[in-house]
Amino acid sequence: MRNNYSRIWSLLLLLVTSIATNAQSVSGKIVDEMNQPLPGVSILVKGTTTGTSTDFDGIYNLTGIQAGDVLLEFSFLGYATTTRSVTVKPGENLTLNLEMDPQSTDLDEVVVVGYGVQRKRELTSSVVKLGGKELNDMPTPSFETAIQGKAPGVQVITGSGLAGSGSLVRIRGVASISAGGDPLYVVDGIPITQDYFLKGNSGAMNNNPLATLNPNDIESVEILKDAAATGIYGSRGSNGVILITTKRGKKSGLHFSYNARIGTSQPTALPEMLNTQEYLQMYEEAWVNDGNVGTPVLPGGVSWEDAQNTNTDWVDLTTNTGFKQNHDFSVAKGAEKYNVYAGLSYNDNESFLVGNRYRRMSARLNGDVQLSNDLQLSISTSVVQGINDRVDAAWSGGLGAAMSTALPIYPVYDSEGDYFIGGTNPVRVQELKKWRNTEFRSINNVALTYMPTDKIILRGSGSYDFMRINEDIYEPQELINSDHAGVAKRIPTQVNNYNGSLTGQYLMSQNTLHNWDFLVGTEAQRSYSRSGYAEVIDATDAFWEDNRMRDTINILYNDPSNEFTFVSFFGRVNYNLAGKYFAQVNFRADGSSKFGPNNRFGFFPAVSLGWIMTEEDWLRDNKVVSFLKLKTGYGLTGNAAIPPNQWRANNVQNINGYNGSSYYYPTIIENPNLRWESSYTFDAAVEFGLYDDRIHGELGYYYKDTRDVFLQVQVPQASGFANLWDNVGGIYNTGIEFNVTTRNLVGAFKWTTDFNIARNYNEITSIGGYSEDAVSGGTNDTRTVVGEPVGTNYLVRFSHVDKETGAPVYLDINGNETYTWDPADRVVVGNVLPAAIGGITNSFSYKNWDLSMLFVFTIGGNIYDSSSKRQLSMVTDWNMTRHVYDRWQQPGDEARYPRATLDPANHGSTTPWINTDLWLHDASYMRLRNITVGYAIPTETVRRWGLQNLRFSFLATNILTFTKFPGMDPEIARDFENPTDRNMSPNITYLTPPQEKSFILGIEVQF
Amino acid sequence: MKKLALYFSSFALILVSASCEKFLDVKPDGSLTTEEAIQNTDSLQKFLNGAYSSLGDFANGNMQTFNELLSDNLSRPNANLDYREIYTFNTLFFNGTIGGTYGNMYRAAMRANFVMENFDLAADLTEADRIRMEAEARFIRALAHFEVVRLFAQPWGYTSDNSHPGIIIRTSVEFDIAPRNTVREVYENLIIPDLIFARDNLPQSNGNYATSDAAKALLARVYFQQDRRADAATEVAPVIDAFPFDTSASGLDRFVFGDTSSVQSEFIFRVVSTSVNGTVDNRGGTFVGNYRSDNNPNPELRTSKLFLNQYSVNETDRRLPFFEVKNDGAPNEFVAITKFNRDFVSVPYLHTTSMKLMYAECIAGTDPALAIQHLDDIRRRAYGSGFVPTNPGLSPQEIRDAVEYERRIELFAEGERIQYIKLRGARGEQREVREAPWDCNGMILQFPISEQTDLFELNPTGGC
Repeated sequence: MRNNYSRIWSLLLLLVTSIATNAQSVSGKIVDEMNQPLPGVSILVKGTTTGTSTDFDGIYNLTGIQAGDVLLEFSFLGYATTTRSVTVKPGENLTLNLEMDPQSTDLDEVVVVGYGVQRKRELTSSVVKLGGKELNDMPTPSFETAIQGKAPGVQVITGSGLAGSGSLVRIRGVASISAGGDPLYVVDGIPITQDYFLKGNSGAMNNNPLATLNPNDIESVEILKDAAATGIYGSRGSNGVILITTKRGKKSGLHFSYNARIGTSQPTALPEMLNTQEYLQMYEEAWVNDGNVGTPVLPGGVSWEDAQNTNTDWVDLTTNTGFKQNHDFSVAKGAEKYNVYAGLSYNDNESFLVGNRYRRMSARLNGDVQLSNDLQLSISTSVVQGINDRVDAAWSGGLGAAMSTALPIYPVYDSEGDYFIGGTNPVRVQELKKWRNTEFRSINNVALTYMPTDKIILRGSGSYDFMRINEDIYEPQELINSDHAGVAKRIPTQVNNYNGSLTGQYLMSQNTLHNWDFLVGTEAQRSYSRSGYAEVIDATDAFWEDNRMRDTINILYNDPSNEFTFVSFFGRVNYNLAGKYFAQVNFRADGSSKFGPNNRFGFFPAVSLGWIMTEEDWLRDNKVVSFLKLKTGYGLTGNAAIPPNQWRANNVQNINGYNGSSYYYPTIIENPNLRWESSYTFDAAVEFGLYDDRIHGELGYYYKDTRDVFLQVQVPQASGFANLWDNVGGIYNTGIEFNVTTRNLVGAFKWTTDFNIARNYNEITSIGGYSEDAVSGGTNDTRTVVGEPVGTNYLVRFSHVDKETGAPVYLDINGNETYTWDPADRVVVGNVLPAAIGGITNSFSYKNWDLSMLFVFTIGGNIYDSSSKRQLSMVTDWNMTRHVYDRWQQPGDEARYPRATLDPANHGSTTPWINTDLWLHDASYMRLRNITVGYAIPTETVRRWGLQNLRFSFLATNILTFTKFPGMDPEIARDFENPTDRNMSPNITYLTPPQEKSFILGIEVQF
Repeated sequence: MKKLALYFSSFALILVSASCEKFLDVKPDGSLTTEEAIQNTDSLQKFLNGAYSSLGDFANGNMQTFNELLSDNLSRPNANLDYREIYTFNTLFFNGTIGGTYGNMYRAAMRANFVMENFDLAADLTEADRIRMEAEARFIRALAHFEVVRLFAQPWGYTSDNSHPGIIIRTSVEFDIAPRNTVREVYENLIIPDLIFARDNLPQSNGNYATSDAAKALLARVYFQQDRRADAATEVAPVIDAFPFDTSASGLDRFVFGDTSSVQSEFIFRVVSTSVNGTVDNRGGTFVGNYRSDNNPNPELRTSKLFLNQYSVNETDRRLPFFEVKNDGAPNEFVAITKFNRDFVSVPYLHTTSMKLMYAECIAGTDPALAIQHLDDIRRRAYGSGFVPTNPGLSPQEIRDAVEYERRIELFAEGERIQYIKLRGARGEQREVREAPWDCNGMILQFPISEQTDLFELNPTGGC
């Protein structure tokens, strides 16, 4: 569709230049609200076919005008169409300059939907569009981060400060338990590889498959939320779909653009750990409390004297200020027969964790060629290399170690000057271990579009998405304490994802009253991935440094490979009666190799209706209500995001084997009934515009009933198996969403506010008779409990601290006080779901200055601070945070935390690893996610320098956070063990690094 | 135009649906249905090797360590909290270390059952091979059940009729939930019949895999645990002859890396670590990881002077160098173990030294002279120049006590100590472990939470 526009512009240009000239003309310059030239604005003499459009400098020259009064209409996508009446005297060359106003409702905006585009006003489904501008208004290592706070009902929890870590994106809650609950990501029509667990949870980081998409290449992101919108993706639509469209050359002429940003990365907060004096004081108190005498025996075999003479600030040693920079350079060229976009980017992102850095180099080439009048060839290709210099985080070490087992009494170096190895020494690990992930990704697409008439569009498309991640680790002899020189490991993972589709579209209009749009299509996808392993035990360097080793060592690939296929047939009919009443029916039939012959195919239909009430006579000219639309839909979508090959009996070979011989073993037994998760979704919304659309927005409601939910249940291990996949769960999600945009001030000083808020509630309706413990979100005691939300906290209740003894008092399962902590007393506690989430953006502009501020917020819900159980409870080989000063010390004390002890028995337990609701905290927060101040050098000035546009900006992210959460950062995207953990434990923090705070300077140049 | 669209879509539908089923019938590389995987004797043999591998995942030091932690050999683990739970006799159903090992034990049994259920698929399987494989599978299954029941249930003799709760018997591949069998059932319906079959049908020589002698040795150990001393003696005597006792001092050092019995003559059955193409399949990592003290100032597992002092009275004891006092006299004093100061070790499970100790005890009442002869073989090697022959006038009970003294240090870390204490306790002796009675709740491990069903009752909690 975009290409159609460029063609239309070209045609218009042709038309205009070929018309015979009359003596009179009107010329001038069109600028936008920022006083920047606006190319491509269409100018039409009303009632005639005379027209032109502006060039790159926003200049137009309209010739061939009859003398007298003429009405000129200026129109441009995204801006309010403006008409001006002028009187042209014979022979006059009139000058008319104009500033165009951004159109507030964007109702004529075209949005990308599955396999096509639709005008926003005609949508009967729920789709949020974010343009490149909204996606690039702040520096993000990965584009999805920029969605946060801008799309109602879309929860984005930004990844931690660890470079390259991923965000958690949830559209209208979570409808899955063990299957992936992430939306489907489609780049230029290709369902891309989006597995967060390709590398498992290595070093407390999940690989972020979206990190290899360059945000600057993105033209727009459309978020499809309801069944009417996602139904065309059938079996993969139930958790929403995110469509990513990359940039193409769309303007005539040649355009260059260069953007650069440089800045710093710092943690939003740091933990306040005890220093040696404080730790020893706590230790001694516990020692004495436990009835011990003499000098306490310290962890790590450190003597009391040595401890007193050491005071290591591990937090300081594992963090620093990171430096980051980003450069984007692009060329766009458009012409009548072709257009091309080429982009090069370099992103260097040093995090605040010492030694951690992610660099991404990317190149993109997109182009369209008109092979003949009715045939167009389109090509999109991108290559990206990401180099992630890794560090251990959270439970794996680094800052996580500084927050736990790296005690202040441990030195970095022993008295000999060697690294101290008696206890956790994150500096030693970071300095000795060489660790790098090298990612390579290329997403490629070729499409042929054939338009035999202007009513028929046939399109065939083939694509290939290749992804390879080499994880290299080198541990020298000094680190591993081995007889061997050092161990080099390479763990390669690669995914080949092929996709092909054919679609046919037929447009039909009868008297402009009945408008039909038919679409049918078929699609096939095959994804093949495998990972391998190579280890060299007498290596001298890492694989990436050692060519010889890289070339000679054989990598053993693990069996089985991961391979799956989808075959789909789909169709959609859009009907529009007089531009007033709209109806859409779509369906998709999906077949997948992930399911056995009994349930291989699924059928997913959806229907939706829309009514623009302001098109009715009785509301058309209402002074207050400028736009009002009702829409509703109902449909069935599915989810198939489970590992392949789970339905059939499976036996695999272990090559390394036992006793020098390979062996086979059964991994699962057959379950031919495995089938899709099915979500039945009802959706209703009202879109409104008030006071000439100066206020416009949308209020929506949805109810999604998901059945056959996948559970990867833990079976009794006496079976010899650990777990199996079964479709036994049920969940419903319901919620409301509201967003409004108000243009508070127009004129020279402009002020616009975008506000959105959403509430989601979900509840498990069935887990097929399994116990609460059959499916769990990792070690953090989030469980599946019927009648409760997914991932509800399931904990022993902490009552209070006994005033006399300082012992913790728990509640047993019946609510009676007890001194014994017993996991059999766990109950549902807290509230895993926030009451509401949202964001508010205020944008101001005055002359060449602009300012915008994005606040994001979460109201209600709980965070479980899982590390507190070790940082604030018993005195162990973990360091503690200063909150521990609110502890019981003597009879009569009313304290939050129980008395210090070294022995779990004094806290009624056998282990310090005890989860209680004492560590559940209010998760509410509001955060100034981004503030940007920009200044564009006046056009006249930059013109003299041969430029079209030059803008400077200063950005700051995460500089202000309001929260009652006592931990570091209330916005948490932890490392997850598997999709179940990702679905069930988003509100858990465990030594998780905080987010980053950054200050950035930017420059944008167009020429 | 409508026609064109129709033709186009019909064509597309036909084109795709024709090859659709085939396209959707994807089986990843290396993934095999049972029929594809088992086609002949060789492939079935590989499944059997998978069962051995599972055995090597629990008898690799995990199972031995759990036993050792329940005994009086070790002092408090340095930092591992799962271990500390075991050490303090109060395990909970969330103990992941226990859960993982429990799973591996039953996985070995499942894989053994899987082999036995699929003999028919190997077209070229000879009757001899079928019987041999069944014998090996039943050896593995019996071993797994024996070690599970010893760790997770009170010992044989805890009740007079051994009707106390044991573990689930698994003789087929299935997911069905089931109640616990009694300890008597586990021994009499599974372990003993399996081992008798294995003994009678296993070959004399079978590389690093189970042999007839291994089955005899294990059966002897089972009988010994039941206090059936005469039966145990009958089984073990020929094994001791077949695997000559290593009289040299190097025989004391049995945690070695090497894949043949040329390392030592005593290995009746081991979990082996092997080196293939420069990569080591290391099955003794748990021992090395927990005890190794030359590169780690704070080894996880250590013992105390309380243990060592009993033995250090005899300075010529050549087993003493396996122990090293650290931070002597300081508050953080402990005794480190040195015999695992290696990168890789194989794990001896059944060896002549343990068999001789068992044999000596079994015949102490019937042939005290022979018992003392075996005991003195052990002592001669241990004390070298300081060896003093055992007084031939000792009573049977005195012989047993002398054997126990040697057994404790000889088999240190091998996990036999606690089961021996329980055996003596079940005989009616007042035995305690670190002041806890041999039969208190905490002397057995708690099952993982995954096992709890309507039919399966977990062990009582509350420790000792």
